[in-house]
Amino acid sequence: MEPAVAIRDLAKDHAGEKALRGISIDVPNPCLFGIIGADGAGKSTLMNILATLTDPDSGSVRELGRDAAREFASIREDIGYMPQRFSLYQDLSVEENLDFFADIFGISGKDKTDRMDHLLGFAGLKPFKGRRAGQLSGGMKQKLALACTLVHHPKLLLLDEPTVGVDPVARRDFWTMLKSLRAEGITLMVSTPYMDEAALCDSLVLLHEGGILAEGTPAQLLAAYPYRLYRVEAAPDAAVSTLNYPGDKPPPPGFVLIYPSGGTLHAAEAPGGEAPLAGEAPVAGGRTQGPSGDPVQRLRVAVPEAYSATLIQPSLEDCFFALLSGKMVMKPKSAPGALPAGTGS
Amino acid sequence: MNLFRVIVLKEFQQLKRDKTSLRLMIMLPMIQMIVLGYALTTEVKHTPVAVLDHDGGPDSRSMIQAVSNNALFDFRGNAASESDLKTMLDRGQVKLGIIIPQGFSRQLENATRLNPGVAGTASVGQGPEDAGAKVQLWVDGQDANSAGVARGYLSAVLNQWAMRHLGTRLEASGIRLDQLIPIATDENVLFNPLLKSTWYMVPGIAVILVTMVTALLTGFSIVREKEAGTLEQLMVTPLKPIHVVVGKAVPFFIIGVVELMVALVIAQLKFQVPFRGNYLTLLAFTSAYMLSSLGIGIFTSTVARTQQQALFIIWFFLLFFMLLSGFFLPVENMPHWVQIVTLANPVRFFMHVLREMFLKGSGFPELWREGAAMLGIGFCVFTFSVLKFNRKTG
Repeated sequence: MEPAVAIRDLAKDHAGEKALRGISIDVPNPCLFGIIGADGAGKSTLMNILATLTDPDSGSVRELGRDAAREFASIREDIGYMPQRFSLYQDLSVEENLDFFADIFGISGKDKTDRMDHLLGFAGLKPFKGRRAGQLSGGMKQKLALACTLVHHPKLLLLDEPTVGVDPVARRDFWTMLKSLRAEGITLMVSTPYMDEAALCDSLVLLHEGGILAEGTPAQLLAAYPYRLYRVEAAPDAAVSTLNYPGDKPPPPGFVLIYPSGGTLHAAEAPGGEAPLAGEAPVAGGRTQGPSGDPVQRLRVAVPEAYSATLIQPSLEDCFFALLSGKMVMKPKSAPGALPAGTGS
Repeated sequence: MNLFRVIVLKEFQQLKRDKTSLRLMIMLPMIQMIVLGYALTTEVKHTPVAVLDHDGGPDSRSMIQAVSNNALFDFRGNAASESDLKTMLDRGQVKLGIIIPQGFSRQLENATRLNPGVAGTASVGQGPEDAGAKVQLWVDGQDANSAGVARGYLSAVLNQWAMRHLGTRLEASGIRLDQLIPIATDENVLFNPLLKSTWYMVPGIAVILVTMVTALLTGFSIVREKEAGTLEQLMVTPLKPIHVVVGKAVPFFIIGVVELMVALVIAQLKFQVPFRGNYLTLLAFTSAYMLSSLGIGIFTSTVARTQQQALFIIWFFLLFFMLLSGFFLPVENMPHWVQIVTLANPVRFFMHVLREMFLKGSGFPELWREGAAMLGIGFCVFTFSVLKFNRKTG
């Protein structure tokens, strides 16, 4: 089956800088696909091209089996695009906004009333349907925007940083909605700067400075993590219970990375006491003991307050940190069709 | 549902919400119309005048009386000396100074006595040197136009007084003056018999206001959607640029027509300017004109990214359009090449149409060329804007 989105060697300059440097991505159908990256990684440029609002400088995009450069009009009938900025009419009510988009897509009569009723229920906005969009909370605005992009039963949804500036509870609600859309068989591409949201995706790419640093399922990324990872904590009765480590200070000997994470430090240690070579096979299962005794002792050289060091499973954030620091390398899959198993291709 | 209608309905929904803007759209032009209708006049009235009377005789006093009694002049009193008069001109207290020389009465007497056949005129400024009494005139020439007009008025008033003076003298000898003058003019002013400049200016103001409102509102309306990101959202739908552009133009067309109707009512009720044309004909010409004034707004919004830029671009155009429209200054007075430039100015044509329709009651037979020009310009601007309106982000 043809992928929902096939991107080949896509490059685009933006304001004189390379926003995208020849990336290739295949998004299976259906899939909840994450585009993870910090600000300026090229997420919005990519989303804009996928939404057929910008032409790439080179490379090609096929969406839903159609060429984005030539068949953009027909693609627009079948995609829903939610831009980064809230872009509904703030002075129209929730209902009027939905109604407007239904009209644009030529949905009328009973179809329209049914669809609007369904979407208002789906977004939990029924009690607020008379309220002006400008007076909704951040989370509700995003839900309304999502509902508006769904009016015409799109097969592909493009969501550009939909959860930025939204409170954590609303963020979770929003992702639950995305999951249920995925279950209905819609393909979603969601860009986000939040690493923790990566775990909720079926498959993802990590964008960095316009290039792809890593791609795969969350499980594949975690499996590729090459280090033993410790959570380093201060003594419970210490005066300062949160540990910090300056970013420009080199890690203590034997460690590859050390960085703060939620008040503790995460320290990554190479399995043989040395950093593995780039692209080397990850250590499978063997996260037992350090190379030479107690890791706390070795950490104290640099972090005198270190009290305990617990071996932990890396999270996707740890993977991304290693990837972004250049201490972990995943070869981007170049051949089309070489999709991760179990994602429905 | 028709996609044009979807946009039009949405625009009206938004307008209905924005009561403040709606009120401003109607109220502000009304205020401007009323104030400007009074203020913008090309008539030179109440020119301040001072007199330096070296003569002081009954004749000079009678002549001063003739000037000060005339509504065209505001008599600001007598100057004590030439330097006093100069100071008054310097300070801008007066625009005209009259200096009556010593022996004015005697000169007047001599003139009539020595040349009984020639009218003893009080020569004004550069008048004939060899006959009659001399009166000197000082003119503040900064505003060349008004100065010229005021000077002309003053000469006329002085001449009139001189003729009357002569008449009374001749009558004493049994000669009637009107028998001596071979030409009598019998004036018949058409269309604006009282030569009221408001009759000419008020329709012009109406054109300016309608232009401003429609061009600005359309321009802003699209750029605002650009700023809010909603335009981007609209572009990722089956909507085409033409839907957005036309859909946006329709509500502002209606607002423009309403605006013009309000202006018509004010012109007729407040300023008693007669509208002698046909209202349906006017609507037809207005539609042709709106195509271009709305087009300017739409063109602007394809170029500008922010409302600030839009405002600047529209002002750039409007200033040219207004000053080169014949609103204040007749196009015929402009240099030839500027006159050619004004052929691209839709305001010029509508200005002409509205004035002609108001005062002459002209219709299609007289004005079809202007109508065709407005349609042509409008069509070009509109087409260009729609083409330029990118399928991408607008």
